[in-house]
Amino acid sequence: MDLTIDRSSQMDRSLRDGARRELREAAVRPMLQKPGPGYRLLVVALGAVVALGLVAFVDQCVKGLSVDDYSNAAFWDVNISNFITIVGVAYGGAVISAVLRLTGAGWRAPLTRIAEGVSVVAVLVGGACIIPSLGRPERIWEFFTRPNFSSPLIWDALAIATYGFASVVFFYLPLIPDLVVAKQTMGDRAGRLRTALWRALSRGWEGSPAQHRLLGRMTGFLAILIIPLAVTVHSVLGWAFAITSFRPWWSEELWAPLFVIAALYSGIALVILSLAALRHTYHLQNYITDRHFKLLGFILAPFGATYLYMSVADFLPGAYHGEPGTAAVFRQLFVGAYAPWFWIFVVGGIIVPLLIIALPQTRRVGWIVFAAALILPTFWLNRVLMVIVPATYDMMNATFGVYSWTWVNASITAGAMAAVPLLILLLFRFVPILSVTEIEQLEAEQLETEQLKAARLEAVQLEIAQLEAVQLDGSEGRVPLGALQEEVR
Amino acid sequence: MSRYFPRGPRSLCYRALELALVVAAPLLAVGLCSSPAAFASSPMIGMTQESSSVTGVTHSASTAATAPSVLTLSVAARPHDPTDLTLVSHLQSSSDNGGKSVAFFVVSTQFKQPEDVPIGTAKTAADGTASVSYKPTWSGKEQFVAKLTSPGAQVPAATAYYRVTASTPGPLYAAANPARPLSFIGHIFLGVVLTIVALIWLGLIIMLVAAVGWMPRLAGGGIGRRDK
Repeated sequence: MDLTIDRSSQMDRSLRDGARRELREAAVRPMLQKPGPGYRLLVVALGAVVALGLVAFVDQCVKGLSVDDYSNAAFWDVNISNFITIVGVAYGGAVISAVLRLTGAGWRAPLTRIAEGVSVVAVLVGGACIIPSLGRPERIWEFFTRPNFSSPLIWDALAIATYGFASVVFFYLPLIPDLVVAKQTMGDRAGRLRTALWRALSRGWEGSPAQHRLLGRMTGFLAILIIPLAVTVHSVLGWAFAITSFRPWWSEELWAPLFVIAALYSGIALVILSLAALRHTYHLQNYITDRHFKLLGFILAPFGATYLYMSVADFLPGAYHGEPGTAAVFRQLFVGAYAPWFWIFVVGGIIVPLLIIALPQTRRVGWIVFAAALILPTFWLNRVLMVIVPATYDMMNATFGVYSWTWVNASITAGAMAAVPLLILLLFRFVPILSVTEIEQLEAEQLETEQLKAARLEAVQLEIAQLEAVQLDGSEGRVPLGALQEEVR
Repeated sequence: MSRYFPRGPRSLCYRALELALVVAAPLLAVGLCSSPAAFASSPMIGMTQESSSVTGVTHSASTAATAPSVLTLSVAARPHDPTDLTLVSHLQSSSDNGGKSVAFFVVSTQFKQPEDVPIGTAKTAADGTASVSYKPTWSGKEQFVAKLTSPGAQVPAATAYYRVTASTPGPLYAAANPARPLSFIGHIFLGVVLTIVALIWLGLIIMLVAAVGWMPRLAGGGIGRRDK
């Protein structure tokens, strides 16, 4: 029996070619479209906020950390919170892409490029966020030239640098064939800068089976590598707190896994927000569908629930034991001066998003994006509370020092937060926004599978018809018709 | 001010006389003091006496109780080892001076109010002498106390001052904390972790080199060429 797929259908081919052309046009749309006034305004506004942050940082370098309200009463501040938050969200994109690749989830293809791009941008901005809290940023290179291996900071720097490098490579490798596709699709419209960049980055790519095989192996290996690397980064961050001066609440064994879960949860939220914004801006609804958001919501929910459980596991024994410092910090959080912020985080960052995903009525794109938009600021708020409340606790007098916002720390925070969307917008002015090759490969595989199924079905149906005809003739008594009919079903 | 303190030669004489009286007053007071116990109870004077015999920085004093029992305390560093002090107490009484228990303390000001931190106890010898060794953990002027702890002893504590010039910080903390488990693998663990990090970096660099440098060699008959 001939089960060969019929690929010669003219109509199918023209349809496929049309879809392929449309996909390629969509992938380079951010580069093809002339930026509108809204886009320009957004870029200028974000750029202005980033510039303000840089000015504040220079002011801090000139006048010292006191302009950030660092003092004996608050030896760590919001810069550390920004650092943890932004490095944390970098985790989501890379890991979600890696996990979906490793599990062979066919629906991943339109998401991977944006998720990996978000990850690269966030890890670069997040890594830079540690610099304002150093006090002497001109000595940062001494991390590597004069390392102190008993300090958690050196491990932080090593872990983030390694994870950052791996994220860049993980973003770059699947990009190679797409750069060739973008070059072919855009032609002269690409401009000289992009063409030169793409030529350099996709040097020698012709899409031969050997090249695909090598690229597939390297990407697969990186997908495996990136997961433990990301876990390491966030565990080291948690341990950096745990071994700092025996501060109350910081020396919790749960903090490392808590950081990992928080990073995944908020990272996926950033991927959802980025997908929603880019899908809307560049009209990618045909590729990034409502189903993608629903599936990402389903991934988000267990992480939210796990975070809730681990937070309870963190708070409950500490509050029950009532060790003076920890009890004082928890009192501040639950019913004290920081209670409003803490409960905003609990309700807005965990309860409401979980409810949105749990209820079928709210399991829609708008609601899921709303949940993601709640998660990101509330998790930043949570990190601020985690840093500031124990850092301001005076262990001699059992009182809390005062830490307040200044224009410097507010501007640095705003600048860091604005840098992430700004760089995402700029990044996709230079690289295709969709993973074209991957989408085409997966679609081809899917088509092949469907065609195989259809051919097999057709063959079985034909066989049934023949057998039925034979039975009607009465020439044969017992025919395995039931088994064939079952196969058709 | 000038109205009541006239200038000129007369006022100079007046001031010189005033100064002489101020300087002489304490000397006169000491000279007029007839009791040896009262003399010994002044720590500053005791300190001056001992400083000439021990390293020049030792200050000791003794507190006398009602005669005849007296407990004195002196502090000195071992020769060539300023971090090792010897506290020697001496009991003088009319009865038997041997076999009495003496507790030694250092007065700590690290808390809200001065507190006696125990150093150790020793039994007096037949001549009434008891001694302990002590390694100070702080530099600077320290106050030491010796107390007779034998039952029925009515002798007041003796006090001595000593200016510590060299200390060995942290021995108490180290002694209180047992060795950490697996601490011996610290360097091995560090080496292993750094090797893993180095291998990851090496792997990533190899991938980049392969992507940029090796990829053209694998070209041939691919989609890219066909599409061109």
